Amino acid sequence: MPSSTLQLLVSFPPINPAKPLKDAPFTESLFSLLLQPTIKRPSALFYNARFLIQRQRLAIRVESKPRSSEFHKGSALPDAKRRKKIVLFDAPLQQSGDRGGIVGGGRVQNKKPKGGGFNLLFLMKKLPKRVLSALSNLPLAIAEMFTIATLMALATAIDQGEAHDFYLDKFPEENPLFWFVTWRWVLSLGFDHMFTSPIFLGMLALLAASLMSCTYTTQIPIVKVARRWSFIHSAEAINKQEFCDSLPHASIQDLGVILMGAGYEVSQFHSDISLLDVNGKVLMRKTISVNDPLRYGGITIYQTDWGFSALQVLKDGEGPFNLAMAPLQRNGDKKLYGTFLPVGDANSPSVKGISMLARDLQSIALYDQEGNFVGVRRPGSKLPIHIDGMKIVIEDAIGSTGLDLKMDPGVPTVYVGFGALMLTTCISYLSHLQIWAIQNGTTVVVGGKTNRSKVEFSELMNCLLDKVPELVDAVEKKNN
Amino acid sequence: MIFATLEHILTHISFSIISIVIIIHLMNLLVYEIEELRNSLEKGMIATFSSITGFLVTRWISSGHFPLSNLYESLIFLSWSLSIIHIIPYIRNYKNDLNTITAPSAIFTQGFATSGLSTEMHQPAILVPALQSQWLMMHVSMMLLSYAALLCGSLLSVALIVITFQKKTNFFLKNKNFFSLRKSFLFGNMEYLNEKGSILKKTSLLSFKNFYKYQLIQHLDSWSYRVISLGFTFLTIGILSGAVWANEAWGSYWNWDPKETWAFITWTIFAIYLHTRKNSKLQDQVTNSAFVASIGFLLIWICYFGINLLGIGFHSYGSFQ
Repeated sequence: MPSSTLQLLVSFPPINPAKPLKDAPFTESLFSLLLQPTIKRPSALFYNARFLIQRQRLAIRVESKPRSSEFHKGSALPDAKRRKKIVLFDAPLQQSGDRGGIVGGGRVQNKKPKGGGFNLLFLMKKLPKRVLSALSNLPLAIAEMFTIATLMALATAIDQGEAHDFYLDKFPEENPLFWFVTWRWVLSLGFDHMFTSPIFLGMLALLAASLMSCTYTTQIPIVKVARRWSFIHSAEAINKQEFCDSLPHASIQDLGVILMGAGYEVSQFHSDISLLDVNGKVLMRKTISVNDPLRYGGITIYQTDWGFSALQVLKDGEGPFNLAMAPLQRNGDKKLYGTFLPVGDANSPSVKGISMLARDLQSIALYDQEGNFVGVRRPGSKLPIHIDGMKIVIEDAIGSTGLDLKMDPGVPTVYVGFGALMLTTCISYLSHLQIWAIQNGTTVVVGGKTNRSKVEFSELMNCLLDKVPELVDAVEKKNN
Repeated sequence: MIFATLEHILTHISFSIISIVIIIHLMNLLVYEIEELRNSLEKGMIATFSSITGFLVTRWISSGHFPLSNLYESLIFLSWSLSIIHIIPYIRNYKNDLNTITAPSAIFTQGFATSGLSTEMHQPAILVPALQSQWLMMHVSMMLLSYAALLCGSLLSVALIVITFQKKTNFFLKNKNFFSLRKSFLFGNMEYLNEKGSILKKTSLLSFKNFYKYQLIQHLDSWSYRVISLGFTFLTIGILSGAVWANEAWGSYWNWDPKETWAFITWTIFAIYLHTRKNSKLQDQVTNSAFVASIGFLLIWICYFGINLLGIGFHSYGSFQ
């Protein structure tokens, strides 16, 4: 047999040279099939080889005369005396429709069964492959990503979740933006609730399908075939719907609202929460703060912002009146709350009264009917204040704290996805070198491949190769 | 009080060092070469790096929390990361041409932070409760590091595009001073690589006049790819840690906040960049991916600055007043 360098470009399930040769007859028949110059029954070949792919634990060793040595950086040198290792098809990660199946020089792939071929069963088996290869097309994936990015940018430009009339105002029919964009476009395409609209979710689903098909067709076979390659590609976690319930201003009195610093800057909000079961027994008790929620049995309770709910006042000994405090807008984010105690006829349009303003629960500033500042009182001090002939006592300031209750069973799954994504992005930084060498008569042909730092790799290779001595002996029969 | 003066001194030191060193470097390169000052840029950047580090540490001590709570501190942190990116190739003994990008970027960000923002924004403030968490360190620092790396990479791609589409190729040969620039670009290695590799690569080696241009483009492309991959990793980690933090603090890991959305858009664009490089034709890869990375440059500024100008959403800590 001529000592030609035969390179089988076949992707097989993992080759384990340590295992003994089990299926010898099968192996030889396969080998003879693959080496035949003309393929008489391509359908049979296709079936056999496909069947081969699916038997995952098959260990194959093919024996032949041509020699090849394989060096792998970092692993022990396997004995390459009489065995030929299958050279792995080092496909770049192209999702160009390559199925992870047989690429035997392109011949096998393109042959269709002739004469009695095209039965429906065969076509059905090909359809998923076609869909997969269409989905794992790289330009399609790039186009999908671009579309998603554009939709997201649009979503920040268009205000989300507003009422119908808002869009009628903003995108009127008389004066359309870019000559054709009216509110009809915006609403029918679902751009007012972009992140839950069918278009956006559909694009996300399509991208997920593309990623999964790419993983299935390209990545998984490579992982199976090349144990030494550590490209791991994970599919991203799909967004899950969550169940969220928010109870703002649940009137639970704050325990330990802390106010700190000049200018009433708040350092932290705390709530003391006890969970009781149906019988009133205390299950769990915890003081939660903003970055420290309470978790129990799948439900999580978060601390959100605080607010000023109501002010309790006594007027001339009558009362107590509960006056609701409203938040007032001021530039910046310092809070200001105010309320109003009407004097006289409360229903007349120009009603006058006493205004009370407060920045926090500790001091209330009072203003008389003309708006002049009168004084400051602390709630609960029982100190009366006289305004316009009335005696006002501020009894109590009722604050409120926000609690968010949330239940989201999908979070652990999403976290696992996050962790995998972070890990794999970091792992892709590990650089691998593979150096292949073939003894071809008296010449050694060396090839190498790396996935990172390509520029330095060639330099390194050249330095190494410079050290290989040149053998001047003419007799080279001993090179086996 | 002493902390304030110390911070003041350190910012001024770093700014002046960078400006002096850049001027020296430009002078060396273009006008008149002084042999002793050849490495002044690198050494100057190391000095700048130490002074900015000192500034951040001082800030940390004086305010009690990690110095990343408002726009000013984040800009200083950004210039710090840019100076790190400048120094790393020098430490690992690569000749780099990143320094044309990182040094001016560092000075611009720092200059803007110091003079462009009003002085009351410089003051360290008490951390709002939502930011009092260990995640602050990880999430924000990762994001800023990623912004720095991605900015460098995209600027390199912009340079690549400008050079590719520049008609005056005689600029490369005739300009005598340009020869010294060329020497610093590892052309020896590039030539070897191209001789070995060009048989396999499908592009035809351009004619001799454009040879240096071709080499320069390849070099820029390779550096841009490396820096952007690094930045992409950091961006992934930053976004995901932000999502986990949001889950801890606000109850859901993704709120379609404008800042989050734009960070995701940036991530998507750079993912497109990395995927474009796997296309089949070699020359197309380089220019297409460079276009994508240039778009990425704009997006990063929108994401980092533009959203802060709007001042809405959960990320309103960095807003202008």
